[in-house]
Amino acid sequence: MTFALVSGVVVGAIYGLFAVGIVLVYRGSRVINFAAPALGTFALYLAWTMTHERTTSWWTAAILAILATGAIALLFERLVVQRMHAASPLAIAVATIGLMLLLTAIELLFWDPSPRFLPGPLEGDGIRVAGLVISPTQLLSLVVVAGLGYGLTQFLRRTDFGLGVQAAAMDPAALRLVGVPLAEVSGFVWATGGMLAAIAALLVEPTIGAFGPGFMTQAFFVPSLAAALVGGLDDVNGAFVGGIVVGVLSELTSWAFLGSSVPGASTVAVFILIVVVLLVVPGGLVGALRERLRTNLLATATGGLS
Amino acid sequence: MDLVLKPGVIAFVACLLLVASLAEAFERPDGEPATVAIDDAASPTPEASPSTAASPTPRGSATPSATETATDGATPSATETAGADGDGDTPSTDPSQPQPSPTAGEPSPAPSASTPPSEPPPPVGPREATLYDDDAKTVGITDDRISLCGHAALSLAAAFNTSPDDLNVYWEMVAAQGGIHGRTVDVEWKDDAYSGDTAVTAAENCKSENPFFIMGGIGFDQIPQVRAWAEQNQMLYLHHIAVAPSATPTYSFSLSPTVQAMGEQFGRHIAGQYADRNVGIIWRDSENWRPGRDAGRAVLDAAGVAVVGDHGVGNNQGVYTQQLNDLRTKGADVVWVWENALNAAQIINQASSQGYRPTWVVFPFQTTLDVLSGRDQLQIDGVSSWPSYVEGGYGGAFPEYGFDAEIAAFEQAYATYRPGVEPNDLLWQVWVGNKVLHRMLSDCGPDCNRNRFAGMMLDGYRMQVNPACPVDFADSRSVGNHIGGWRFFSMRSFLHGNNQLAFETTRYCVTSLG
Repeated sequence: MTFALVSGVVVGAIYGLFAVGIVLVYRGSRVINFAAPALGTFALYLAWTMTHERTTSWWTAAILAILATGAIALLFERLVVQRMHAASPLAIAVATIGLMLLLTAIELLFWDPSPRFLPGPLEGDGIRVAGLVISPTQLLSLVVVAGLGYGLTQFLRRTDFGLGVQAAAMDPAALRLVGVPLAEVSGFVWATGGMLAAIAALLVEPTIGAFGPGFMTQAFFVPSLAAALVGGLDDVNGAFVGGIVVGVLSELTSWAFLGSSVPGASTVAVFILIVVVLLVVPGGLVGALRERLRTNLLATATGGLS
Repeated sequence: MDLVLKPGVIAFVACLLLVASLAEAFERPDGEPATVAIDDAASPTPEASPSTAASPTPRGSATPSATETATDGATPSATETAGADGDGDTPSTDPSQPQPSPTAGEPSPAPSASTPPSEPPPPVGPREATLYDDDAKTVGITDDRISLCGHAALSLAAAFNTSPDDLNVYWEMVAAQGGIHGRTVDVEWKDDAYSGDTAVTAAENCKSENPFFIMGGIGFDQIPQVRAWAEQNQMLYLHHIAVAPSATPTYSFSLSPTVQAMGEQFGRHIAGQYADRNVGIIWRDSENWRPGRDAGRAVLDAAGVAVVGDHGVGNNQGVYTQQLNDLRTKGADVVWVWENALNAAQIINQASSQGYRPTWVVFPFQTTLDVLSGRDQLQIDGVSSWPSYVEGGYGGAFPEYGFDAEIAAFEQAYATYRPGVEPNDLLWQVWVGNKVLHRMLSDCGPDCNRNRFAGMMLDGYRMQVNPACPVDFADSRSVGNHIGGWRFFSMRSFLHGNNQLAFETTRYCVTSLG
């Protein structure tokens, strides 16, 4: 069980990173970006091409792939999202499915569906925790996820632009009146969401072991969306926590149902979690807990004062 | 049987020619008695022993030292005897005999790149089935052309820098040599994107082009859907490996084994090679995959093999940590992965990253090996219904099947017709399959039509053409003579060239890998 917990945290951190990208876009535009994992897969192909055909180092290839993926997301925002400003978020969400399909088609056209493998940036034996070997790349990914989470949170809380991002989806008209550049906010969240998906894909791929066209969508979209929902679609920190919750739940269920005749138990568990969260705490588990904590603190403080 | 006997006069002529061809077959120019060619079941078929390719050198440079015989005791059908060659100039299909070049004397644009089965038409074709009326039975076939259409994951071809047209090099070569009974074979391919629904759409697109029959490429999940569609739409359908139909089909046939038969052979291979080891299984838990695992598991259980872990997984599950950890914890040192190429690669790499390196048993696709890390420490076996391929990696293996000679011809053909295309195991599989189809269309005769073609199989068609395994639609397991592939290969990985991992065939066309 400890093994399942540890592996759940390792996998969940990646779910969390994908989820942050989804949350960020949602906060900035009230749109769920179905193309997030597809952008991650595309980054993998770019990095793979650079490392294999141009003998670029992993780090250089990764940085270029992340930037390129961010640029693609930004391009999509400029060419599609901006032009659909009068459309409903649902319509734009459907457009992101179009982007997902387009990227997969490009992968099929210019690469192919045969499996590819992009080795991680770090080599070595890693460390063993509760029987699970955590590779150097996995350790790196945990550090990167934590660092990105902290940095992004601070940026959103402590800068005017970050506050603008947080407020963008609430009242765009009012925000425009106070001088927040909405177009830049929108471009920022889409580009950052794309780059986060690229980082997540680059960090998780060495663990998965191989990838093909659209692979990240197939394997990571549902748990990532679940992580975003569990954490709260408005809550960047919640997305990380949601990722860990979903990762641990998934691995624990997989462990508990090992050898049973129930197929796909971990997927079913994630779906049940989504339904329960949407029914009971539609604002997200983390948001609800935080609200409860705040209420209790206030009550305590008020009680103390009286 | 849905067969209609042709007029008596044709049958009479057929008998005369049958006697004549048999007499010729038994009398060789040097006066030595010859083995009756063609009928694999009637004449014992050599099965390369496991020791055959157990050489340490790539591609089994050792010549097989012994052969096993395998016979089911069945007698050859009229179809096969009349149609296998038809002219006495037999394409010596007995694999135990040296293989004369079937194209000797024929024009060859690719000097050493042509080994299609010999052409001269049998004077009498097989009996006709009654699937189609007079108009429908000649759909897709004219005096100078046979139109075929296939669904396959075409993007997989692109994986090797090839286009769908590159799959048809064999037919280009045949056309350059005069075609089959004067007909060229044109094959149109539609992408099924590895999806059952898309495959049905692809088949519908095929049908709109009025092909002689539709072919179904690799894909456990696509074929059953297309097969159901083909039955509903009365479309002649030849497909690759698929789960056995629940009822005898009418329009669907296969030259490949069923999913159940493949799974059984995985079990036999493991039980035969690793009986004293702890075995784990990771398998795709879906309706089109599960029957294969069930069949293999039954074999392992019956053989008393210790199956210490047995885990169903979802399609594209992505993370297999729990399953692999369980198998490692329980000491599984042989793991059967009943999954596709991508997922098998992920499973092996994830295990390697955890320091878990059992002997793997997988479907032997080169594309899986190409993405494995730590390849010098991996031991991987393959079980398949097709022979292995490594470019230029031949050197004397399985001469009774003309294995190396055919690879040389295959490479020469691609060098001639597609100089920019690098031969690979996928094209090799297609090449071998096309050669079998060539032989079938040839045996169908100059008056071939869809009823006659189906009738061959329904009548228990048997034949063998190098380097393919014998086809036997009369096998007792062939679901009303609709399944004709009952031979198997085992392979193992080896390092060659620049630390490249590849498969080499260790057993060739055996009836059982046990």
